[in-house]
Amino acid sequence: MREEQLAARPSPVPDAESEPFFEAAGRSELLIRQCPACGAWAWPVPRYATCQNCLAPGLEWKRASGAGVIHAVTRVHYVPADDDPSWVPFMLGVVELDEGVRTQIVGLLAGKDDEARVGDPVRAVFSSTRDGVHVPWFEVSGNGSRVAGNEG
Amino acid sequence: MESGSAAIVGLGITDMTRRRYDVTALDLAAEAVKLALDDCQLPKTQLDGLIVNGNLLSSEVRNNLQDALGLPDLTLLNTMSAGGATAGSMVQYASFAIEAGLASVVALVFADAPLRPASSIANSRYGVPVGPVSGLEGLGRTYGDRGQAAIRYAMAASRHMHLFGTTSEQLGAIAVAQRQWASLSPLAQKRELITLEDHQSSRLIAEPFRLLDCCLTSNGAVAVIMTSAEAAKDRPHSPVFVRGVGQGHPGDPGRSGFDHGVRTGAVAAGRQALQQAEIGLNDVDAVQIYDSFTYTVLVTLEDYGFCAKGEGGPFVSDGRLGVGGSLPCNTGGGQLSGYYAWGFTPLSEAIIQARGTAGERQVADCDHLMVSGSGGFLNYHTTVILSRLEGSRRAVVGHA
Repeated sequence: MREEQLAARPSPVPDAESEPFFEAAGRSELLIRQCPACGAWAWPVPRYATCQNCLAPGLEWKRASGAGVIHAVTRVHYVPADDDPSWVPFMLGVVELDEGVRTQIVGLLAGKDDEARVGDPVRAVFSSTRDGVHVPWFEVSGNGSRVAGNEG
Repeated sequence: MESGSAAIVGLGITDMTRRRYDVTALDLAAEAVKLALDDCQLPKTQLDGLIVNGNLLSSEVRNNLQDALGLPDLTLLNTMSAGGATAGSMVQYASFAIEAGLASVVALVFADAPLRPASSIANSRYGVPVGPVSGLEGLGRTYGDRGQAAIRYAMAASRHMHLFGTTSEQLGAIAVAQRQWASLSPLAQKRELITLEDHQSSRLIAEPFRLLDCCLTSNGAVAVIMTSAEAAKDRPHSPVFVRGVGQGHPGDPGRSGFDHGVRTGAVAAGRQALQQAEIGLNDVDAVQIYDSFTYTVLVTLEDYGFCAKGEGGPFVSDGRLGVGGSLPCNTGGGQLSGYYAWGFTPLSEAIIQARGTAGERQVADCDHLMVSGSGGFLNYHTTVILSRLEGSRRAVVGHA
């Protein structure tokens, strides 16, 4: 049921820049960027040409664990008039990844009690849109235990 | 900047109690400038400076306002962009320019028409579809994030609630207090009183925000005219002296260890502005706090130091912000209940209070006003101290 709901969401359209990210998502792997000079991680959106930490150029795609905790969260109860009102309510959040960097606002999938709270551990899970593009979501991990993102 | 070297002499606010869907932002801007010139009884030929609030939906204002107003002899022209914090930056820049003799009469203008059918906000309201977005930027569309401000501020509020136990009812107290003030203001769009129960039963938007936590939208414009403290004394209204301006911009680095949206640029900006004005928080008679959402007021009051970090919830919910309270806040109703003109909502109400012309909602003995502007999603902050009292004219620069 949930797979169907997620599949019905509008699909991103991979371009040359983002192709590695979506291709990896198809293998249930989360790619983010890492600075080759100082090792700082960066969420790939928005895309910066240089490292926010040391300003070196040439950030590289690197596999992240997919594990983190919810830094901030909201349950959204409305959509703009051209989106599908059947989506609501849905959860959005910012995830603090174990790599020490935060995501932009991402889709959260609640845990068994239908809740997602600040501080809850999450892991990346992957779902395909009807266009066949795989997208990472962040799901609350059960009982506080961390599960590696690539095992789902 | 010398404290009090420049003053505000003119104010023009288009009527935002009527919904005007068909008027352009450029037309509104020109209307507000005309109102402000009439207010200070200056001919447009005296204007030699024009500063426009950027970041707006329509580019026509920044591109065409000078010509729409027929101003061929400007010596100062700029568009400034720090979102909702821009108004304070504009006041600061105009003060510097006047002090340096670069311009003598400067108009600061905000104008926007987000409710016009062709605007991007109106497109979402009226259901004009948006196509697929290529690349990683398209992820937001999949998740259900269309860039709405409510979602972003809700993230910050969720942090505050998690860390300090802040509640929706406490946020609601801010909305209730501001509506009390709005009920006394002929400029306000929403004047019927609300209760905390009304707030709690208003529909959920993005938790913790309900409808009554969110600002209004308005098609409208505000123009402010500044000149030197000396020249200001020849104008019909009592001068409103610019006593201090501070900026603080943390941005959003997105890294561990920085609690974006819980600790804001208001800390640095407020301190700098108060230092310049040579006053303390106890001297502030009323505050006009940028209120994109109720939460923005709470976090700003904390960061200014009116209460300790984390105590904003109890602080705002004892009635002190409302009519008759000890810290009058957003006395025109703010953007929640008055009108939505970004940083020009708190700025304009502060001017009216400092002049002593606020009528039923006038704060007694209102010597000093602290005015905030907040931009991005709590990324940018400016603070302005306005006063009917002249400053020392000393240049006080603080780096504390």
